[in-house]
Amino acid sequence: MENLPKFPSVTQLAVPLFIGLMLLEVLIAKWRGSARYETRDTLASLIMGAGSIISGMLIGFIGYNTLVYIWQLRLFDLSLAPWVFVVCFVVDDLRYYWFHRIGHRVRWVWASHVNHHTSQHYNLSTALRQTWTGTLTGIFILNVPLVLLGFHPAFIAFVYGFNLVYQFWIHTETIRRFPKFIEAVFNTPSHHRVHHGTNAKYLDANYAGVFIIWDRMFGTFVPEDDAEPVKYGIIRNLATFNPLKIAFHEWISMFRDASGSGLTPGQRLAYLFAPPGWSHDRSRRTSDMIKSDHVRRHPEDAGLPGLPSVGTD
Amino acid sequence: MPLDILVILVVVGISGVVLLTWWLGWSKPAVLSSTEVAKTEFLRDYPGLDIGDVVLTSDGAAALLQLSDHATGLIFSFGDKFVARQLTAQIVRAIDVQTGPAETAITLKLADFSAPSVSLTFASENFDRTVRPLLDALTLSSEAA
Repeated sequence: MENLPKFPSVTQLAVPLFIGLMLLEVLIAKWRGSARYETRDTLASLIMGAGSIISGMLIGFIGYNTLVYIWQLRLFDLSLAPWVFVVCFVVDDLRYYWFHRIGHRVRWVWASHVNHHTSQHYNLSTALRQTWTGTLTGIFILNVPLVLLGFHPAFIAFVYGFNLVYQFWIHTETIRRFPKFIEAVFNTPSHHRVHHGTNAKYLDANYAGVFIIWDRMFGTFVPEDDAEPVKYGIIRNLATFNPLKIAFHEWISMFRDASGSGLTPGQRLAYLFAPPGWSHDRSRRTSDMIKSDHVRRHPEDAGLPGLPSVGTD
Repeated sequence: MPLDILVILVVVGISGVVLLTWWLGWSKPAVLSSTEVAKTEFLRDYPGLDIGDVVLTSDGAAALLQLSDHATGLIFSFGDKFVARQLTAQIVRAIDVQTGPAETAITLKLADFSAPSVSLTFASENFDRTVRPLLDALTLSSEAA
């Protein structure tokens, strides 16, 4: 793989597909009489999407060059055979699962990823509400095992492009459910709606990119419950459509919290790396606390998927 | 993909989708049709809280809700959805009240990055009886702190 071909950017090539599918979804929403788009929300999401492309062009090299350096230490020399693509796709999807899980459980990474969850809508434009600051979290280090196995960073980026394109179309309420065998293996609109929910039972669930099997394997799968419609957004929804505020609000809050007066060094670190919602005086709620609160109020829900068996203080 | 083609696609695509949603009328703000709706929407964000009196703004775009422990609930329209906040003296930096013959305008300055200022307009009639206590609750909380 020393003479690596130049791989195309799959996500950039998919831009016409993104636009076409959004137009189709808008028309379906109009036809069904269920407006699921809002003008300024859509504009904010699409500007976030365009901004993420620009951000990738400006600072993406940091992660890429780091990984290219590490690639010199690779254990194997892999070809570009189809089976290498398939293996890379599956292993990278597992990498995505853990990136995504960390992104929801560690505030440092959540500060970047939260952007994607700030819309109270769930449509194809929401899929494009992407972070501008992902590289700055350093989470690209999760690619190191793949690079050491011999997958070149450019090849990984190429393969990951297909993963991202797959994840685009599942951001929709237009499709309810697929046949069971598909829902069992693949991430689908139904599974991903759960992931975007702020309902107690839906928090911190369904991190999958393409294969939902990772959530089933690691105990984070929660099925969509038709009796409990998904409430989209974040726990304290933003009241702004300003893309700059959307992109940086959590970074600002996080550093403001960590630099507060009278905190121990451990508390400052916890504001940076503990789960979102952690606070030194317990004045805020983490997702675990929210789930526990819910079970205390609704003991009949104890032990349901996504909820603890006991509500504790 | 050449950069110039990408830029054209992105600009035309964003403009097209956004204009289509506007043309379809999907930019109308949400309205709270009753105090019950305000209560229900607030509880979606703050489940389990006890809510007392609820006062809607004149245009139905927002409401203040009486909570226990010297807190006041605020819910206001944001696009076609709502945003809720639990107000306490720690969050409210200033309250500006402009009383007119028919309507009284309130501006809340908040320690909230995405909503630093929220304007509400209430009917002046009964303002002192319905809205004033909800604002006073925040002041009392400040004194208690």
